[in-house]
Amino acid sequence: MSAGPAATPGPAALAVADLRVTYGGVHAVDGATFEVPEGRLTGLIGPNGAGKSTVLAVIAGGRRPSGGRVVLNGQDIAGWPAHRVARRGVIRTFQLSSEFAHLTVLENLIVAAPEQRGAGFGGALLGKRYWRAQQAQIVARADRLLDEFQLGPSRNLYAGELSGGQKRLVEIMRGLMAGPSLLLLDEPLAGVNPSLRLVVESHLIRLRDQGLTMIMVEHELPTVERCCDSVVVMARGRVLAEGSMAQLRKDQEVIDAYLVG
Amino acid sequence: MPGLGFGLVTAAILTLGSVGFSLQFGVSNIFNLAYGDVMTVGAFAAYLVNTVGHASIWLGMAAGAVAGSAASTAINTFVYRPFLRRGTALFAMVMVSLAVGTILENGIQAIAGPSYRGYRVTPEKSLHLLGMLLTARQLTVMAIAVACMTALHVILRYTRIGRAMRATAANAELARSCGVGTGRVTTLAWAVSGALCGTSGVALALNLASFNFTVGSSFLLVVVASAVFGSVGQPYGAMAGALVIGVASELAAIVSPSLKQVVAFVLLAIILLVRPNGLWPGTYLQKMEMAAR
Amino acid sequence: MSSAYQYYAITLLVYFGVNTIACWGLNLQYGIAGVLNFAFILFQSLGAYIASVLSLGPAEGSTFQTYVLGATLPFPVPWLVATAAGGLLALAVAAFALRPARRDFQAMVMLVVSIIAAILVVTEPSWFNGQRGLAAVPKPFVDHFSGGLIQYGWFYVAMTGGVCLLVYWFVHRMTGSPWGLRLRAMRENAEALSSLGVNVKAESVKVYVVGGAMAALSGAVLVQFIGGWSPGSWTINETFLYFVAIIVGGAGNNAGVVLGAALVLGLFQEALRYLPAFGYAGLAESIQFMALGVLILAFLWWRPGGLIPERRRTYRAPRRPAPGGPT
Repeated sequence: MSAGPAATPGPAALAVADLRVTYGGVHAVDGATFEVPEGRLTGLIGPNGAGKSTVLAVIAGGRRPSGGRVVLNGQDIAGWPAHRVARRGVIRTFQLSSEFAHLTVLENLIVAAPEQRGAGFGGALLGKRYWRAQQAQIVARADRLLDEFQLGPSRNLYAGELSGGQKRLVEIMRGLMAGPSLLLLDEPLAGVNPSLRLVVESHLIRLRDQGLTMIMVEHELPTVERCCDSVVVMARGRVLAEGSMAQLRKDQEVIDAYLVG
Repeated sequence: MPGLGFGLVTAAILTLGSVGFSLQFGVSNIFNLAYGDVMTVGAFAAYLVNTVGHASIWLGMAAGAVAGSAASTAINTFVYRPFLRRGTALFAMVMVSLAVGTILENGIQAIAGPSYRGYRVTPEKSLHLLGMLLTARQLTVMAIAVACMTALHVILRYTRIGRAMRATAANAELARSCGVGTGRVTTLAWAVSGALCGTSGVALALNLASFNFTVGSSFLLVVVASAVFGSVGQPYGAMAGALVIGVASELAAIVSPSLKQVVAFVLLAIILLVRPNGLWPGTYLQKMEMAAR
Repeated sequence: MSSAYQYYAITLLVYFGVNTIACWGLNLQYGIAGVLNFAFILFQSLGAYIASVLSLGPAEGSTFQTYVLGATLPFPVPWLVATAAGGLLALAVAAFALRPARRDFQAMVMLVVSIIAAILVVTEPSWFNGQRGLAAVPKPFVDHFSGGLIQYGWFYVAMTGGVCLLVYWFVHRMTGSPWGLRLRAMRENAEALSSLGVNVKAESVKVYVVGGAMAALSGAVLVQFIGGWSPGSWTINETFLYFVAIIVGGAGNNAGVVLGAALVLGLFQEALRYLPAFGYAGLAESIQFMALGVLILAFLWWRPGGLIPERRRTYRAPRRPAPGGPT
């Protein structure tokens, strides 16, 4: 499965410039710079401790950088709070399972839908008549998504009761319900069984084809090869190289730092 | 300046208390709301040894340390650890520790009754020292506090078990994967901090004319204030916090006695507004974020 | 039924109604939104104090107590102002108490606030008459009842019941709405909810304010029945009791907390009255609180959802047309 259109990448949806994250004397990210083209699936790979998840956290607003810029559609969003970044269309999934455990799978999805009439205090006070119709549409949308990811039967189970792989899927679907323009996936396929992996990968590729920009932190190189248009390699807090997997395989630095060890 | 003298004594008591509290937070990541009541346990253990056993108050203090250590270790082993192992959310653990504190406090009240008691100690004259008015006993308490802190520093810095405690406090999972026996380390940390807790309870009761079953729990929030002020989980920060809050609250008491506790709490509120992670935030910042999940 | 029994029943019912309103408020904050409001009793007290001073008349007219804001406002204004005051105080407390990200941290700060407030009220007698508290708080409409205290008592029960219905309508509407779902998600994982675009801090403040207002309302209803309020009525123990009621009854379930209020705050407290007196005064109470501590641990270990746990909500799937052919 080749990785999508090989044409030259379009405008950058996101640009990270000289990003630094330091805490307690540890340089988790030490001057990372790379671009994420619009409508492409960019992989972010590297050994443990390279700073990949930290970079995602900074982009998504969960973490303050110590320096550098994160430019989204021409605006520096570094240091913005997470909910503000999310309102701009940047949605993330987490490395550790972060499903809403004591909510049903369906509720996990519908709570993520943006612009809900009944989700504000005033809207809720106005009562069912005000928000019921819209919620029904959201529920329908969520049910469709559940069917696509083959989790329809788990609709009314508590999300905390699912297997690890199923929880990852719920998080991905939840992220999709939020209507992102940039989706950050932090090891989305960890714990997902092999047959489901290919299904999910095909979903990701379909989303990419529909124009969704994505960054994916992944350890499984075959997945990266199949899905990602281009790859950014990080090690020790810095970007080692950018390019397609084929190009990177020839890069000596990358081989030394990562592909061998 | 007599207030400063009182301030230093309070700071000494507070140091013992808040460093112990901080250690417990450091290894187990919970606010032990039963801490004050373990202080009371220490105070009453010393009372028994001192009054019933006719021993010196310093022997009583040792008994208080042992009692505090035993009680803290038992609470952690039989209540906190099982709940944590089960995956109980951190915010639910506050309810657990509040419940333990309630049981302990009311248990002490049931056994000891509500009456106020005092230690059997000979009345002393105050000495004039550097413009401050202190009794020999108060000086001894301060010396004990300094000795304990020095011993703790040595343990944390230079012994294997101390380094293991610091590693567990910084990152329990990482420590475990490096082969640190975190279960045993945690138990030891609770034993050590429990001893500090018991000692501070005795010191507190000794500093008051009389005390009853609420002596520890009413001091708890000042302990928490100074631990949080210095970044909870950081023993050295707790020492700094104790100094600041101990002296500040005694100076405020000169103006009006009821201001004493209020000042400690105002300082707590300010530090939370300005630097929510305290004076000494360090690697434990990660812990804060993980806990917020 | 003799009038003594009637009065006993009336008292139990009013307390039950008041506790139900309070529990619904705390349930909204803790059971549904996961906010650990350890200063809960502070808001109930403020409601009681405000309703009192707004019914007692100007302080200058009193010979034995001093307080602020004296007025004789017609019913239900004192209750309305009390509710609003609870909301405002909650806003002020939330400004710094909800700053830390960790909920147990927040709880510590709130505990501290409620203790300072108690100290301040005691040391400032000009506020609410200090340690002695307020007394002789008039009952609304009492002059209209020539039939005596029992008849008035049943009237008060009916009024309390009316307020309960109103509060229930509100709470039921809010918890069943998408906002309620959002609060529950916040309880489960605030960071994840944040990453979906929700301003978690703002929502926490909102739920804190609403809960604070409800607590204040419960205080207002209670104080005009019992006629007085003092610092002894609002210690940490009272907050603890409300939490026990919610955890035992069923955190997150509005019906569950009513059961919790009835069992813990009603039955358990009253049972103490009937035990033969033993030991010194206060011994029975300490044993009672020990039992409550054990009860909380037992429930948190074996049945954290409470007696009536939060119920699972299923949403009817809208009918979908079959692929081709008649349905």
